[in-house]
Parts: sequence; C-alpha cells; structure tokens
Amino acid sequence: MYRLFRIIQRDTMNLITNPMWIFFSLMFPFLLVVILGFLTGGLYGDYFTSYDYYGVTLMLFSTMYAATFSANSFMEEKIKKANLRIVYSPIRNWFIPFSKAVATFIFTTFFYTIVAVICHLLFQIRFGDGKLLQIWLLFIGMNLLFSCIGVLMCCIFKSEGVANQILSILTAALAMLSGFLFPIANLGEAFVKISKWLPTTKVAQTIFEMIYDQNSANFSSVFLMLVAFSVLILAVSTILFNGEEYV
Amino acid sequence: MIAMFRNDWARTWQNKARLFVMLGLILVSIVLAVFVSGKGNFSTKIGLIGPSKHEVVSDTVKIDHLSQEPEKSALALGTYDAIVDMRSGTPVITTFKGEEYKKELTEHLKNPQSIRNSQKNEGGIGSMIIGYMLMFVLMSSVTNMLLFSEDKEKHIMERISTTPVSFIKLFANYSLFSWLLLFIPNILILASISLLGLTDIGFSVSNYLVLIGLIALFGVSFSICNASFFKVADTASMLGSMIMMITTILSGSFFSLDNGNKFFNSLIHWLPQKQFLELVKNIEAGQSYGENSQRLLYLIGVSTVLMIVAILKTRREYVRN
Repeated sequence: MYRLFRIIQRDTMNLITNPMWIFFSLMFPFLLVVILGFLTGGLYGDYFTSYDYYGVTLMLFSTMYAATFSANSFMEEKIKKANLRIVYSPIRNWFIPFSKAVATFIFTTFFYTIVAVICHLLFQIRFGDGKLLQIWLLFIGMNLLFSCIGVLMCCIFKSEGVANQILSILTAALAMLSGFLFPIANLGEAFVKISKWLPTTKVAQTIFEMIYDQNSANFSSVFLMLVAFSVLILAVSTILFNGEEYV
Repeated sequence: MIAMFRNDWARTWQNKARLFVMLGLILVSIVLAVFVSGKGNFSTKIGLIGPSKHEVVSDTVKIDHLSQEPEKSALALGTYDAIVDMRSGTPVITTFKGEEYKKELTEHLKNPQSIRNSQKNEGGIGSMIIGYMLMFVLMSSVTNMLLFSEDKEKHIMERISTTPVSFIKLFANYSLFSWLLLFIPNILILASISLLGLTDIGFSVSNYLVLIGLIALFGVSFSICNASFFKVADTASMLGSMIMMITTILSGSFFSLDNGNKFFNSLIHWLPQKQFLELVKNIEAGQSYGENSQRLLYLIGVSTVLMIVAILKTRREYVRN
C-alpha cells in the first residue's frame, strides 16, 4: 500500500509540475465558457444567461478532457522510461495504470474546481446553492470516468499520440451529441433520441434538474453509474496492461 | 516525391488501429449526417399545457401538448424554448429566453398566422449534410497532420533539413498526403451512398468532389500551419481541434447562431467555414461556381496564406545559415 501511495504521489507531482498542463486545465475551460458565453449571450435571457448554460455544460465538456491528461501522464515520452523501471521493480503490474488514473483525477479535480469558483464569481453562474456538494460530486464523477477512459485508450492503442487523437474526436462527438456544445434539441428529434441513450446526457440532465427544479431523485443512480463505469473501465485496462509490452 | 509518398503511406499503415478507427469515425459522421440530420428539426419548440385549439401553423414551430407542467430544467436544456399554460384561459408564458422573445411569442399566440421568420436554417439536404460533416472533416484534418508533428517531435526534421529536398516539396508532400487521406474516404463513402441509391444526398457526386476537396484543402492548410507552431504533437492537435470545433460551431454549420448582433455577425462573416457554408448554399440554390468566385478565392487565399506561414515558420526554425 505504501508503494502504491508513493507512485500515485509521484504521478500527481509530475502533472502538477508541468506548467503546460496547469495552463491547459485552467485556461481551457475558462476560455471556453468566456468565448461561447459571450458570443451566444443574445440567445438567452436575463434570468437564465448563456453563462448559466455554458458554465455547466462546458465544465462537463472539460471534464471529458481529463482523458487527454491521463493519456499524457501515462505515456508521455519522458514518463515512459521512468515507468519502464517501475515495471521491473517488485510491485504489482496494475499499480501503474491505476496510479495514473488516480493522479489525473486528483489533478483535474483540483484545477477544475478552481475554474468553477472563478466562473461563479465572475459571471454568477448557478451551480445549485443547496445541492452544491451533490453537483460537485457528479462533476468529479465525470472526471474519474474520463481519467479511466484515457488510461484504457492508452492500454488499447499502446501509444499516447494515437490515443489522444482518437480521444479528441470521440470527445467532441460525444459532447456534441450530449448537448454540451449547444442544446441538442436544436439538431432535431432524431438526434434527441440518440442523445437520450448517452450516459453523459443523463449527467447534464441530472445537474440541471438539481439546479432548477431542486429535484435530486436521479442523483444517486447517476453517480453510482459513473463510479461503476469507472471501476469497470479501470479493471479492463489493468487486465489489458502488460508491462513488458510497454516500450 | 513518389518515394516520400510511399514512406508516408508505410508509416500510416504501420498503425492500423489508428487508421481504421479514423475511417470508422468518418463513416459514422457521414452516416449521422446523411440519415439522421434534419429529421424533425424545428427552430422553436413550445410546450403547451391545457386545452387549446392552437394548431401548428408553420414548419418552424413545433408545439407539444403536455398534460402537466414540465420541469424547469427542460427549459434550461433547451428541450422547450417556452412553456405556455392555457389552463386559466389567458396564456401564461414561462421562458428562459429574454423579454423580447416573450413578446414575440405573445404576438404569435394572438395571431397564429404571423409566421416567425427567424432562425430557420434555409437550405436543402445537401447543405445540411455538409454542415453536419464539416466539423468532423476539419477535426480529422487536424489529427491527420500526425506525420509532420511526429517528424518534429522525434527530431527527424533536423535531419530532413540537411538533405537536398526543398521545403516546398516537403510541405507539398505532407499536405497532399493528408489531403488525400481526408478526401478519398469521405468521397468514397458519399459516392457509394449515392450510387447505391440508399438515400438522396442532395448534390451530385461531382459537386461533392469540388466542395469536399475545397474544405479539405482549408483543413489541411490550417492544420499544417497549426502544427508548425508546436514542438509537441499533442499540444498541436489538442489546440487545433479545439479552434476548429469552436469556429465551426460559430459559423453555424449545425444551426444558425445568428442573433442579430452586428458585431458578432461581422466577426463570423470572415470565418472561412462561414464562407464555405454560404458557397454550399448558393451552389445548392443553382448558382454556378463562377458566380461565387469571390468565396472560392477567399477560401483558396486563406489556405495559401496559412500554408506559406507554415513553410516560413518551419524554415526559420530548422534552417540555419
């Protein structure tokens, strides 16, 4: 347990000491909210502003980018060599993918929370006053899920570059279909039907229900679903991960 | 040149998983665009509660009859633009959109014949399909620039710059290769849908050849310019696809974001994607390419400028005299 803890600590430090990632994790969600919120301001009213919509959906979209961070922390050229040494040390193989997912989760949760607080202060975005904790839990549930997906992609494609390219298109498609980039209802009924089947849509819907209806009936089921998916994906990636192949 | 092409193809073929996932994504995006888009698309969706003789009078407004009040989150998510409660006799409008929208809607309810002409994305099947495909085509053009980024990341570029091959030739090779990688699968899929007669895709195949070729040209030159500014492939592809995604949405490829804001509109007007979509619409309306030569020139001009910037930037970085 001590060894696992040390690896996780090291991986988290690696992420935090990389200024590029800090810049990305802070500026990326913030700029998205500012740009899209500003440009679409005219489509919304005074009570429910464009920032209220995009603050929630684009933060969710940013959590999907946790996959890119975890793919990077797993297989970046610099880190690969260090990992290769861990493979030959007397620890269990699954420590490596597991610790990357956890480290990314800690990193993104920390920085995205900062961004959310800044956005709230600047644009008075509603994140649900009474249900703040539950909403935050859903956000970090998404974070966890996508941290695990990034690791899984790396285990499948054995290369960070490939994993990232595929992830960037997949997340864009998924975000579009889940209505994170604009209300999905604008695309017509057929797309709404597809959208209803996506777990990510469920998350957004539950969050909006909690903020505007004070209805948290779906919270526990959605949260459990996120955690269950994360555990499942992590399990699959630890099975797929093979230390010796990893060069 | 041919040797360079062979080499590019060999490197792409090495990573079959990537190639096939890319092809799969292209296929899915086209299938979504061709078979799903435009089914039941209304620009205004209203939830109506209570008894009403109110009928749908235009194809831009859709009215759902509800038995009870829906949740407010339906308004936030955009499922309904407004909810009208008719139970008390006079309509009570609840909407998250501003006062102006409320006024317009009240006007419409009083006089259903006054058809609102806002926001309707006028365009046939062809421009709809291209609009939906646009984002994916442009994003995959960014990720297709892998070979160039890889050459830089693995310091192969330093060695190439010492060989007698000219930079223009090198860049022509990179861009032509990734252009083909983008152009061929898209066209093949569209052509086979059209030739098998599965469904109407709006344009003729030859029109698609020109239009997809044109936008692929812009995509490739943007992504090569983008890649030339970064040493690391991931940063380049992340930032590039982000820029492409936002600008494509803003250009109104999925639905028109036009909100009457002058400043916003004049900004959007200069986006190459916007110009391209206008071109597609005009072609669909029966205009010839000659009549749209300004738009064609603008797109080709922007692509050329981006390409020149990429070449100059890389040359300054790698060639030292």
